[in-house]
Amino acid sequence: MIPYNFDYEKPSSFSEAISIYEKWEVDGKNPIYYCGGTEIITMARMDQIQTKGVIDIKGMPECLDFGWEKDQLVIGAAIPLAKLEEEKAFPLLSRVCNRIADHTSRCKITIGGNITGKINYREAVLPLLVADATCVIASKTGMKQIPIHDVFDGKVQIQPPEFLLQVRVERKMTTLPYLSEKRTKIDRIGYPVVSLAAIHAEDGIRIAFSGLCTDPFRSLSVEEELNNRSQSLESKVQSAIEKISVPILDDHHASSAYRKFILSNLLVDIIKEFDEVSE
Amino acid sequence: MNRQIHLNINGEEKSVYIRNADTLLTALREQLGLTGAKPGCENGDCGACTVIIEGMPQKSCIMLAVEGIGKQITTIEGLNNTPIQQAFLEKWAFQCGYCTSGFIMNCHALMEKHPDAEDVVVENWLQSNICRCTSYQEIKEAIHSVLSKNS
Repeated sequence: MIPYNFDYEKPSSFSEAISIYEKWEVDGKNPIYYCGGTEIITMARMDQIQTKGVIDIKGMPECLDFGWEKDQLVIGAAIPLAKLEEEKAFPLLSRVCNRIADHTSRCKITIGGNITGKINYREAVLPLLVADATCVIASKTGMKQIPIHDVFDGKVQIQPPEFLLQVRVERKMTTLPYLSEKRTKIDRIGYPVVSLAAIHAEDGIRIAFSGLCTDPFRSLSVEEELNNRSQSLESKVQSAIEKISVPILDDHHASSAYRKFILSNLLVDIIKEFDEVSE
Repeated sequence: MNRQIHLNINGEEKSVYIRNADTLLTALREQLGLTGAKPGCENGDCGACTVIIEGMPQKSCIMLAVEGIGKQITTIEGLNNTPIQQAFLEKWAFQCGYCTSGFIMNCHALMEKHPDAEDVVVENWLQSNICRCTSYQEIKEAIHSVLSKNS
């Protein structure tokens, strides 16, 4: 049971949502945008998040869009992970979504919620990082499209009342060879010790990680080492790991040394598999 | 402050008085007396509270009741002698029974959406529910007995 109550609105347009947000902020309600809501409900139940105003964004058509618009795949923020998993419009995203939580939960968890949530792993962002996706942000002046690399720096850097409406991915990115791997401490369902998503683009391997460090990331310097043809397989993997500029996690899921061990093996496998595909 | 909302549950329009912060699980059990959905972890982990919303399984502990407005909600009370219920009986796919309604709702949604589901699909869906009595083998047999009849 959530130990406090809140106002709830489900606006049908993003401009209405922003108006409600601004009003409730003035009223001191500490409003939050609500999409799948799984994280908000579980945190609210434990009194880890306080709000007196919940704005459900599942009522606006842009958030429910899913499909091709010319050569772009449009994914509304309110699309559940289970739908992305099943539709396979972007196979790498489908595969990554398949390993987030469990199927029934994925019927509720949305891509917008997963990416913008408080939980550190945010694995749904990995395919979007390697695919150079575009974020569509709702703002007071209308919708604006911003490259994901300008919006996502470990966490989504969107300042309310603005919020994420959609993500868009170029068709060519959805057809490239891809690989995704996830390792957990024990079971198939669980938080990642290491989770990675990779594509083989014209410029080489692109790869993004979750579970390895505090926040998900894609690193061009790591990719540069993985794509360095002058080094042996083992050397390029070692160099790539050395290029990770933030501390590798050392927690109850796995030690830092174990994470590096797992990562090293996964990177070797991925390079070998991509080499086979390109031969 | 409570408010009145209307929910379509098992094909009937129901009027309920809830707080906006109430979960669907709370509304079902405490307002409507539909106690088939069980409170287990109340954290979205165990699946004992699974209901079907618009044909898909949902954990009613991680859904606000107000989100159910305008949706077709089915609880275990809305199922009547379905093939998967019969199969659970025939295969003894339960022990204490606390998780059973959640399992059946998930299985029923699976059968409706994928009447010829392959093993990989069954496993993917059924990983959402936990049985502390570990009746997993019997539950698997129950599912396969329905699937084999479908095929």
